[in-house]
Amino acid sequence: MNTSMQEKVGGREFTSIFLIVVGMKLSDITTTILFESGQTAGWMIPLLSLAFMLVAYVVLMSVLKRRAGQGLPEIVFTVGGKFGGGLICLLLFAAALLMTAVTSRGYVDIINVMVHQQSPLYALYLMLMAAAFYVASRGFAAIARVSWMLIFLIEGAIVLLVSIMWEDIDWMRLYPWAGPGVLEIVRTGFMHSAMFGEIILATALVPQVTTFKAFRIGSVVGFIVSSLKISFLMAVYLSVFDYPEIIHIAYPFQQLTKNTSFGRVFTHAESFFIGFWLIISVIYFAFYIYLLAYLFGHALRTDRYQKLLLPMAGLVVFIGLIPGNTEQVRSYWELLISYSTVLYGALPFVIWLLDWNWRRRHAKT
Amino acid sequence: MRKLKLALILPLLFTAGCWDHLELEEQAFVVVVGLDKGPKNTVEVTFQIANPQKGSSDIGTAESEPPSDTVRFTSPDVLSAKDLANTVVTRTINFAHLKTMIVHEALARDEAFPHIAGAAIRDPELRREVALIVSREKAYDFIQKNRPRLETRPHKYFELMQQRWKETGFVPFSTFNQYLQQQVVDSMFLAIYATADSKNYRVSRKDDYLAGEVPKHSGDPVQMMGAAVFRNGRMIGTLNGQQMRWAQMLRHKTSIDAFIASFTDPLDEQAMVTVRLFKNGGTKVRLNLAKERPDIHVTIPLRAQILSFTSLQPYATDTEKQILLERHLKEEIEQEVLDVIRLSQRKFQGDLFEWELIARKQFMTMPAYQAYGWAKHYRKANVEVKVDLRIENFGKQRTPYSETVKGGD
Repeated sequence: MNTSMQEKVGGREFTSIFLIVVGMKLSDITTTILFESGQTAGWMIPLLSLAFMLVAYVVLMSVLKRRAGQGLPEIVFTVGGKFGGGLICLLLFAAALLMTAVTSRGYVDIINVMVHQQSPLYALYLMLMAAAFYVASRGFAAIARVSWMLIFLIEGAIVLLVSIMWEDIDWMRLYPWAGPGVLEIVRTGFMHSAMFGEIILATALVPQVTTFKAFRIGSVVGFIVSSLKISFLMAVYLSVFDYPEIIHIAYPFQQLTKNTSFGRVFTHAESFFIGFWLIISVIYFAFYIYLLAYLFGHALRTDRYQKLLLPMAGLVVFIGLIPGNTEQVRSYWELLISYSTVLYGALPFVIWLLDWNWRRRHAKT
Repeated sequence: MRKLKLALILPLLFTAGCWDHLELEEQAFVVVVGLDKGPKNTVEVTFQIANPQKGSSDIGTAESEPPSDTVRFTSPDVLSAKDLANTVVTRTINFAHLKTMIVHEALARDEAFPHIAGAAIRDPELRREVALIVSREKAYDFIQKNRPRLETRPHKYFELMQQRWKETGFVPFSTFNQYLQQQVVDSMFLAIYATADSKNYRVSRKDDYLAGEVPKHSGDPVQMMGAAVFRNGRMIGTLNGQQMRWAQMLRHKTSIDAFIASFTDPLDEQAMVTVRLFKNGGTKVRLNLAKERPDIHVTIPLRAQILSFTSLQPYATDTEKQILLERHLKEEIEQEVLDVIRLSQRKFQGDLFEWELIARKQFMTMPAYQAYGWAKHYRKANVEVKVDLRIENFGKQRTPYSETVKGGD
């Protein structure tokens, strides 16, 4: 693939993409689902999930390190051959596509329920995806630049949100600390580790980053900081709303912003936060659409993956509109996460074995 | 090509306002909702709609209009009343600025109330920060009678009142969020108790009044004093203002940090000592749950500023009398606090002080805590109260007035 034509992305921008894309999960249905099984210990789950995912990531990185400059698709085609490589790429693509469809539907549901109740779902969906497609069509470098531009504002908004709510926080509500029990927490953490599946998918983008070191640092920092952020915000939700009320609330982040006010004059501060949230959702889905086109393009071994952006955005909307209502979205998400956990967890080991096999064969000849 | 793209994208900006557009002039902002029990499982919903022109620079065009309008409907729930209201009100009913919900005591005691409240919160326009007030008379009458003299605009009235509630501690600062939080098995919730009907007026040397009993002679008829006690989402009784203050003091996190209270004088039966009490750090609650009858040790650290004493004893200069006064105040407070705890254990049979959060800390897992059943054990708990009181100062007068008179003889 000819990447020299394109602008490469620096470590700084790359890190901020991950801070946005992964950190975004603190505001969607992920948190509510985790509270349901995690109860008062729900906030620990993101940390555990990341720990599980990092094991798979380290194994994958050991392969990538040996083939510096190559992305995941290039490597699987080398070590797995045409058939194996195509299959792995398509599997990853399918997992990412379904995940994007279900998550984006979740976002559209949030906009529909919390902000624009009378607007039809498809119209909101089309608008969100059109905006995301527009950003994605500018290329990966554009997504990265926008992320870098916004990252401080976004983190600042989160700090502001927590500091406004500080008075309503009662950390005592985090007890009993083990929630449903240690074993149950570890199990849920493992089952949901696919929520950090991007850490595996992102390795496809290695050729887009200036150096391999920048990629490694960017992805690790991005993921660890994001999971800490998600975990902290979940602890805040819990200490404001308390268990068991937290599991009755559909969208804790949006509820939290509804409780904010700047003094007695600006009592409806949520529009400020929702505005920010909408901007970052666009970046979030722009990244996903780009990634989908990139993966599918590589599975078909074509360089012209930019042409696939529009069909991908359309496909996401079509699949996303299938679930009938918000609760179905939730159960699909749950199902998808457990299957993708198997995929993202096992794949690095498969690739490592293939690579080991390839090296053994090539050492002989 | 660029122009074509732009032409395709630009209209998207305008479509955003198609379905959910709001015209400011066509909105009716409800500031207070009143709920009464209606016939056949219905609720009578009262809306107090603010008139935004009143109190603004645009007053010239609306001089004769009242600051708010009140309408009442009978409907199956709060939200269906919203559309029904448009048979009378010319503008779209909007809850975005709703600050207060007033519930008639009879409805709050009704078994349907948890369902009505739980159903209403689904509407995203209804905020969880809405204050919940229980009124002794019908909510409609309460809203009708409430005509504050100093605040023309109704939203301002409740906004400022909320600030005062946080300071005086006579009423709990109760929001919908707290009501919903505490809707679990055997959980207690305290709501603001109010009335616009001050017939039961009586005089007491203490602040042990309930709404309607405050000896007040003029002004707005509305009184907010004491708390409505809820158990499992239904009202079961009331606490008076004095008890409410101690209940707030017993919680590990309170909004009040200073209040004025009166106690009897240790040296003179007829006289009263008025002090300003400050919370001097957090209330410490130690639990011992190992026994069938759990032990609870509560320590309340307080600082006191002596404001006045009608006995005119030389407390400020006489160390012995000072110690006597300090001990007396300590014992009085301990007794009053203990009485509130006993009341909660026997009459309300539930923990009003959010001690379940402290109990939760003793357990590792949620199922273990739920199996223990805090409410059940709390009822028979052995409670000991200790007040750490320190008199900080005696005001700006060192010796009482009578001493100088004696000296002059």
